[in-house]
Amino acid sequence: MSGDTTTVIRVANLRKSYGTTIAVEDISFEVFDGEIFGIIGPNGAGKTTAVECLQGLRAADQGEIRVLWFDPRSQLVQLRRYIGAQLQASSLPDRVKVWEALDLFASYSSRPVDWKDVLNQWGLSNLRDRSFGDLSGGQKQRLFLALAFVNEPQLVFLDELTQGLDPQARRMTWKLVQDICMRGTTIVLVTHFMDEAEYLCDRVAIVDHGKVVSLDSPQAIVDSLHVPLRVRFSAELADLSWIEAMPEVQKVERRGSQIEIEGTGPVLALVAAALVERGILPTDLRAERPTLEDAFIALTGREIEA
Amino acid sequence: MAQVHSFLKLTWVELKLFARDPFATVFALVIPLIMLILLAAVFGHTSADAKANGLVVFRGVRGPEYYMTSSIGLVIVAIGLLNVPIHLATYREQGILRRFRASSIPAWAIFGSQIAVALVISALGSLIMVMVAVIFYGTRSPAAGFGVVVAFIMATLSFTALGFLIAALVETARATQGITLILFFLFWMLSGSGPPRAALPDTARRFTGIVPLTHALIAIQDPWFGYGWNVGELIILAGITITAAVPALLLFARDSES
Repeated sequence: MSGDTTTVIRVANLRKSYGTTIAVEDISFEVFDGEIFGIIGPNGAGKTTAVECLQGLRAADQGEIRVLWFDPRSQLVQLRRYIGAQLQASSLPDRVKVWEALDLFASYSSRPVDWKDVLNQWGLSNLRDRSFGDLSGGQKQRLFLALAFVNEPQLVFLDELTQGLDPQARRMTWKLVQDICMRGTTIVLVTHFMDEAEYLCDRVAIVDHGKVVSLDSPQAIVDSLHVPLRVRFSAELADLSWIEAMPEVQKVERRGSQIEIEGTGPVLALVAAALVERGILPTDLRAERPTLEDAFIALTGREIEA
Repeated sequence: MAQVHSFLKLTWVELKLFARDPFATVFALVIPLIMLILLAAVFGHTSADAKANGLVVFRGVRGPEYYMTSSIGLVIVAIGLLNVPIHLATYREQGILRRFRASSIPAWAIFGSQIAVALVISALGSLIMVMVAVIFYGTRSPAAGFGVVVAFIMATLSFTALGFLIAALVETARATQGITLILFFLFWMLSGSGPPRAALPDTARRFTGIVPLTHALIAIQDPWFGYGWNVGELIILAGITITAAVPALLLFARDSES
């Protein structure tokens, strides 16, 4: 995110229920121009419902929503000109060809773009005449991204972008998302993959049971929880008391020759220095930083179910 | 203008999707053709005034002429009642409708393109039936051509509207497929497109009036066979179109709003 903090989305006290089920209880956040904003949480937390309200695909029961310059409830047609969408659990007809989908979606976009350019831009040229049903998961996602960008949107919603993709296709998709962001498009990314959010997002809102339980940069969320850092190495050490005596160290455990230290702050640097000082030079000294997933579990009290 | 251009593009894509779907082409074109050839072979030499149960069997025309019109009816039913609802139910189930909507493709274009596809394919299929009938059985051209065209369009619209309603009411594409297949064969049996109405047992004949295909068939046959426009049947077809299409479109609109 640059220094520019123009607000492109403002949501206040959004609420949406289906019959007696409350999908979104009370969600508020802002998204700034040019950032990748993540909405993360377990399945059924209300993430998709919330972003579908923002895109005007569902009508919110209560709350203020402003997306770009528009209210999605009353100015949907205008809004759609400026946004792109990759929807969760959506598809295309199996027998439609890649070029036909691009051509069709381009003809319905408000800004006329040449679908052939889009085809090249997204590396789909060699799949031009392939049927949608014959594409791999990664190729389908690439087409969905291309379709989401066919009207050169200022703001894009990407919902569970990498679900069902193999690790290689996920990495490639992440790269595409970063490229899009570099071109100045604001991105709202909905995901239940914590590593994805941590890797891509400038800021994230953690949503659980229809509410925002935390909102900040992934790093700040992790830091705010003071989850300890784990330092591990192997060494044949009889005496560990000198490690335990270090003020930054909270706990030391030994499993065979494996030593695990939990601590805070610069514990890794201090342990490393102390080891070198004693002539102990383990080749596998490493620190395991707490991740967004650790923070998520600490905040919501439950594990993410994939 | 841009809207019309995009609509034509969508319709063209939908036409191509139809052509690539073997299930759709088999039911819309192959089955009616087989019925025509089989039944024309069986009843090819039946005289125009043959009777069964005291009723004229083939409405005063030869068997092949009769079955030419009923195969046109089958084409219309296969497209409107089978293909349209299965297609739409699949679109809804797989989130294709949502994707279209999110990409500014308006609802009128989605439904309008289905109607356009139904009209084009029905016309094409009907032409094939007529050509086969004329070439192989020497059937006559319609006595009132314009009347046949109007009846054909009304019949296609009414079955497409019924298709919309089934798609709106039935939850899954699989269930839609089952229900519409049963309806397809029931309509075929009870409308006179298979066994002529005169040949049906009395109990079965009592149900022919509630089968929409019966009305479509008579509406097409009367101007073709020289009995003039059947305004009453055309009004019934218009009634079916409106009573099916209005709730169907309202249900689809409500679904997409929730």
